[in-house]
Amino acid sequence: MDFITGGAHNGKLAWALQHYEGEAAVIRQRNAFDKGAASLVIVDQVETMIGERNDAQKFFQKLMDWERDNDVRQLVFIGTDITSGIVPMEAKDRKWRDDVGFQYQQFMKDAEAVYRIWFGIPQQIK
Amino acid sequence: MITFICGGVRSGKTGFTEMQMLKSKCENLHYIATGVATDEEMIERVSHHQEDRRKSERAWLTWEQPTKINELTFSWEDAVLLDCITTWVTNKMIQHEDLDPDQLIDGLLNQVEALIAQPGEVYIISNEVSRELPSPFSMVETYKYIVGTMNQHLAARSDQAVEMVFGEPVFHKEVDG
Repeated sequence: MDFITGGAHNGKLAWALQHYEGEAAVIRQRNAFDKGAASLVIVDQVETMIGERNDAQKFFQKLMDWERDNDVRQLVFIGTDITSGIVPMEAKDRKWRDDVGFQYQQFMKDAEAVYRIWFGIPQQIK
Repeated sequence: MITFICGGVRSGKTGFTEMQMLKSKCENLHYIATGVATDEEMIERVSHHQEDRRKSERAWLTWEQPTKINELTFSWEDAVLLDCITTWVTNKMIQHEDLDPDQLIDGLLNQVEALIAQPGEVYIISNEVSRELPSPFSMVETYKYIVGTMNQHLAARSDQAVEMVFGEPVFHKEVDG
């Protein structure tokens, strides 16, 4: 599993689609995961999933298990960094931000490679 | 040569860029100020930057140009600093409230290209506004989309791309020497 992060509107998905060769199945928000899909799966906007899905962690684990089952499979998580800026007024937003920070720490540990995209330019940080 | 500089507030973007430009072989140094001083805090920030340039070891020509940056004319003997994309985008958004964001971006890119084409060296400063929670205000999200798209374009277009991190430059693209 690779993890790609960076700010909003920094060209993360565009870079991933160029970097990873082959046809990619891109999963977003509440889209279900089709087991018959391509060998390259890119999960975009994971920050939204973390905020909206109670089963987000289980969902990520299921995808990582799928990747582990076959060597040709490649899983890529893309998450926007929403952890900076001033502390949000709403408690649910503070929780969302915390959950995203914790989950990204976990992705950093589990990932084989991690890239931070800075306005279209990649910086490999793991 | 085009240099793109981006970072958070008070990360030393202007100071770093001015230091780079003092070493420039270009004969004339120009500063394009896009910020409009509308309140005391902004006046204070502007005079702080003006004071720095007054004390500088080289002379600077300052152009106050909140919107029409393409109306300035330069030659290859000029090194030009545009400070900054974010205030310029703000001014243009206010001026063209009815325009669709992508149309506005097209216009902005044309103006930037016109500016980039003229001088010997161009330095363009922008701000990091992309690493926080989405705003409940759609205008703020549109603003972040426009600034992000402009920053991506400038990073791709540049010969040097520098992220300022609390006063330290991190080069994402670098020119030798």
